[in-house]
Amino acid sequence: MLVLKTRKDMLISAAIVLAFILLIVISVITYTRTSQFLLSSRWVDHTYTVLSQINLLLSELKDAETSQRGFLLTNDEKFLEPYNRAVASLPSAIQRLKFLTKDNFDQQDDIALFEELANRKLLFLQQAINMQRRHAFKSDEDVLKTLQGGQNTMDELRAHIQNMSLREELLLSQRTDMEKKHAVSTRRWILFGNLGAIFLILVSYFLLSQQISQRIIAQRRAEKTALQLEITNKELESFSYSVSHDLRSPLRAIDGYSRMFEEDYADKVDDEGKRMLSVVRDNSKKMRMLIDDLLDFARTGRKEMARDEINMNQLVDEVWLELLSAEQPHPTLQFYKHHLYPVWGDQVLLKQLLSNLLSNAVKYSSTQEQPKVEITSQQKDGEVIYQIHDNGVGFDMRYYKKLFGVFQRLHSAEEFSGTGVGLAIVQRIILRHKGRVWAQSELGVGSTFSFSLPVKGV
Amino acid sequence: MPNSQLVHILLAEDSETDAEMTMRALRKINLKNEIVWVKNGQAALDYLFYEGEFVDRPKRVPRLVLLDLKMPKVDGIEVLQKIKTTASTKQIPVVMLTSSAEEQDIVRSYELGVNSYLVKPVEFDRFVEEVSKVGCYWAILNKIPSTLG
Repeated sequence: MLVLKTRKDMLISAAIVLAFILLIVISVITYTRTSQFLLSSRWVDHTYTVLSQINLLLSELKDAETSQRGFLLTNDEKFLEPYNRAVASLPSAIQRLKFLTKDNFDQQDDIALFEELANRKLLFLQQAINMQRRHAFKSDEDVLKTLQGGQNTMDELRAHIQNMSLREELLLSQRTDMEKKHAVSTRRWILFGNLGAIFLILVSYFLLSQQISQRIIAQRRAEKTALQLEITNKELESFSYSVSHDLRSPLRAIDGYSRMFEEDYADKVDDEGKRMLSVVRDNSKKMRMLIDDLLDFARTGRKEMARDEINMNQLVDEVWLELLSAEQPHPTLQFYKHHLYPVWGDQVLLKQLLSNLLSNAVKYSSTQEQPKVEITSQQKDGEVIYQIHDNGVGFDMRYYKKLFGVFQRLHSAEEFSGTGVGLAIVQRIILRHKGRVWAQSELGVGSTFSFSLPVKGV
Repeated sequence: MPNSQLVHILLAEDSETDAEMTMRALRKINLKNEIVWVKNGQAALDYLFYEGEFVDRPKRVPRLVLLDLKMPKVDGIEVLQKIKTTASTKQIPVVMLTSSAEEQDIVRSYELGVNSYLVKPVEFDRFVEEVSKVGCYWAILNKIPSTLG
């Protein structure tokens, strides 16, 4: 179940990451394609600009030729005006063309040829004009020859320009074709990429919602378990209630009627009869103590827990005083209390814990000549460790496993009184505080009971 | 302590042994004459309100009512509630005499106006001592309005 869940988790993460990557790829592609498109449309513009510039130059040269012819016919300098304009503007116009085509070597070669032809054409025009001015033409045939030379150059120029135009147009159509192809593939990318991303997101959404519903089911199950636990707790409560009521009543009768029997028939019963009666009463007393301790044990499990900061110095003093007033302590009993760190917990439960441990220490050291009980504390790794040492009879570490069990005793009732519930209660209180409890002992030397509690409430 | 007082006490207790021990404890302080023992809550109510088998009994209000908590049919809490909410009986001192030391029972009893709440000790000597103390206080030392008992 757990493995399955993590696999599904990984699937969801993978789908989301993939969708993310896909969207990034689409973004990058559309961005570069759009920039490419912009660039090539700039190139198209550029091609048109170059072509129109070339055509402009050609028409200027034509104008210059026409004006030269007019001059040759009329000898009127006025006709030379367009010619002069062309001569003046041609170098800068060619310069502009060179600048426009500076990135394209093919075009630059073309322009160089164009410039050469244009200059040659202008030279022919110039020669004819000069001859006319010097009246060097001897016949119409001379004029015709000169014009013929210019005409040939002009034809070459035209042919050249047509070549250039053709090439540019080819280039243009190639670029447009490529653009069309790019546009198609871009469209495909946008369409399928987005569809893929949407699919992946839908898949992860589906998986997520499946998981959420699974979690809701698990939560409901947990709630149901909690409810059942609560019911069980209630049943336990009523159980301990009836134990306290129903078991005590017959016990009271056993003790009471033995006592009444003693009172009413004292003169009719011999000593052996009286001894037997006292055994009955002793045992009913033992049973009463067992029931009381068992009830205490049950109560520590079901009682609501408070979380307060507990002044352990004060609490230990309180418990110690109550202990001394409740039982007759050994006349030379010594008690050393070192500084104790405060801790978070339930005052009532911790008081019972201290009471059980300290009364044990007093009880099991009471047979020593100089009984000694000591309590210390230290702070370590986010918890406080308290230790209660005594120099009592100790216990055999071989039976350590039984130490904290319910109704488990490592000493006979003849040696030391008790029901064997005290340390079980201690352990339960510590567990409810999410702490630890352990012990160390050497027979005849003493015992140390340690428990740790979290510094801050959990 | 006055000798052989005639004090009218109602004891509602379903356990015969507890009842016998209670009566024995009360006898020790010479409260022996008029202890009426009923075995359940319904009988206690019948007695107090002259109903059922007690329809013909002479009109006398007990000076003290001792109630066990857990009884068949009608329990001690219900009897207590009826006594304390009825004008003719609400002045009678009522003492709970029970095995239950449950907080909820104690709180509920005081809410209903109980006069004393005693947890029966299991040890017989302490039982006798405590029951006789309570009996002595409520049945002899305590002053009640002259319209009662």
